[in-house]
Amino acid sequence: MAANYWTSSQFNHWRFTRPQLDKIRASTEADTGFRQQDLGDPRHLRIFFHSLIQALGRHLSVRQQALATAEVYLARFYTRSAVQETNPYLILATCVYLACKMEECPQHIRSVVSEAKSLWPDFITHDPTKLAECEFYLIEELDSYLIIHHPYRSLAQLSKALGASGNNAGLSPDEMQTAWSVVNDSYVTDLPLLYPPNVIAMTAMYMSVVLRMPSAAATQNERTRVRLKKIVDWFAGCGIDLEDVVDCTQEMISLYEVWESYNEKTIRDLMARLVNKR
Amino acid sequence: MSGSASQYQQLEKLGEGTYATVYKGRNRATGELVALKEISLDSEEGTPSTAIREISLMKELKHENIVSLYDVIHTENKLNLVFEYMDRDLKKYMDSRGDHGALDRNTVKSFMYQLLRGIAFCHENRVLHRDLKPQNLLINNKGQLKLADFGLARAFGIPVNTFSNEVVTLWYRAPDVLLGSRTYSTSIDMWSAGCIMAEMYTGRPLFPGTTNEDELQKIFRLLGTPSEQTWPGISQLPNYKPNFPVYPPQDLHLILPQIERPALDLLCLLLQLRPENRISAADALRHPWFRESPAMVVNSGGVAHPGHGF
Repeated sequence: MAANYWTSSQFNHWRFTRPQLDKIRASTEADTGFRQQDLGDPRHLRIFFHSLIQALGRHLSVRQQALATAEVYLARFYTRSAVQETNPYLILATCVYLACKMEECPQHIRSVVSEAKSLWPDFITHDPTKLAECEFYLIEELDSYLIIHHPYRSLAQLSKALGASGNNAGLSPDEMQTAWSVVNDSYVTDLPLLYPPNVIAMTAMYMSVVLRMPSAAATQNERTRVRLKKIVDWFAGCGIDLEDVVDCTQEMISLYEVWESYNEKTIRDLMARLVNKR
Repeated sequence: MSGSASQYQQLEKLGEGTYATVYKGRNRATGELVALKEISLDSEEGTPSTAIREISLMKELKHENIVSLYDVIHTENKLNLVFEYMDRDLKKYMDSRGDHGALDRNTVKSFMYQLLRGIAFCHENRVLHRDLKPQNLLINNKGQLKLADFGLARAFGIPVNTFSNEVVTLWYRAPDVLLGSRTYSTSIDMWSAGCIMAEMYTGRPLFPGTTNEDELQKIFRLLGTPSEQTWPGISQLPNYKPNFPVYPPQDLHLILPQIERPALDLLCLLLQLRPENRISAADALRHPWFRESPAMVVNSGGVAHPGHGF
């Protein structure tokens, strides 16, 4: 499983192209009268969901990889259903609950319900059977494909290989930390539905070097440029399509721009109107 | 896409497990026989973790020596897993076909080869079965053997030291697990394979222990009591006792007089007390036993030749 992404259901059944995703979303939205412009940018909604999952995860002390799995479940789920036809708070709590079972750090259904209830009292009821039923429905919507391959493992392997490549290009601990955060943030985007984990890991490594590029001394910049060139050459030697890495990098940079204009309250109010209308 | 429950006609009950009931079923459209594993939901746990593990792994593991999961059907409050139909499990096969349960050497060789192929495939895909036993190995009328019941299986991802040690039926449980080791890996399935191999030759379980301690005793009585010299680090394991009765190792040939030399050699490589010394599934498949008279290994079920790669 964990070993071979290329024969996995993630590769064979849950990989999309951008046009496919656009088409799927256009058709679910056409059915509902949901006003995109209220959101500013649809990614604001993703940022909102991301922050909710992270908040629930913190309350339950869930490790990052299980939360990443939950985010992929959520993204997959909303390729099948329109947000406004669901209670996203219940759906995402269920994604976290199921992901914890899958990643072998199970949480008791009652603790998930009570933490979710304390975070979002207006949208979650005390009754754990609601979550159990929702889990059943979620598994069905996901076609029972539950094993998720993440970039974290690739990131560890690739950075080790880069460090061992002997041209002084290895990532510093700070850069590694940045790369790890970029991977965490990639779950806000569609990248996990579009690209293999190793491409996302490469993107994170690339960005960690570029984003941390010192702006001060020119000599340092020169050195960084040389190093970046080495890293890019090494990437090319790994057989990873650099165009994919460039595309992912653009997606991430654009996400960070959109994040600047994110206003949590706007989305929270919108969600309240949507969920209460149902 | 999930099918609907009405696609299948439910026939007689085949068995009842801890979390599921298994029925024989028939696909109404094609007439094909299937096994329907019906799982009830628990409002306190939702869908049982064992079911979730089994479904998620079976959706990924496609191999001719692993039972196929055709479909997962959601009904109102039940989950139905539709598996390929297999005629019987190895235990029943031995009871019905064997001489007092014992199988002839050609059948043992064929079944061992198929068992090891299934295990090798799991291990290549970073999956431990953790519960191999004759009841979990299914046999069809073509003489094919397939691994089933992945409810305790897990992908051995990163944290290997957090496994519970409450897995693997006692009789097929590796000594390192019995001694409380929690860092086990693929080697635990290899131990089980060794126990199953001996059982196919004799018709009787090799180590039918009643408790953890009794199981260890039975193992040591046959293979000798290990010590720090033969197994460095053993005294650090949680269930190790310095006052284990000291037994010398016995000659396996005495309890398995019918076994041929190369088969005995493989069996010894499987039944290594120290997990690090146990042969891997991939290496076991290359063992000389399978290279001699390979035609015997091939059953009518289109089972691939050993020694020709796979």
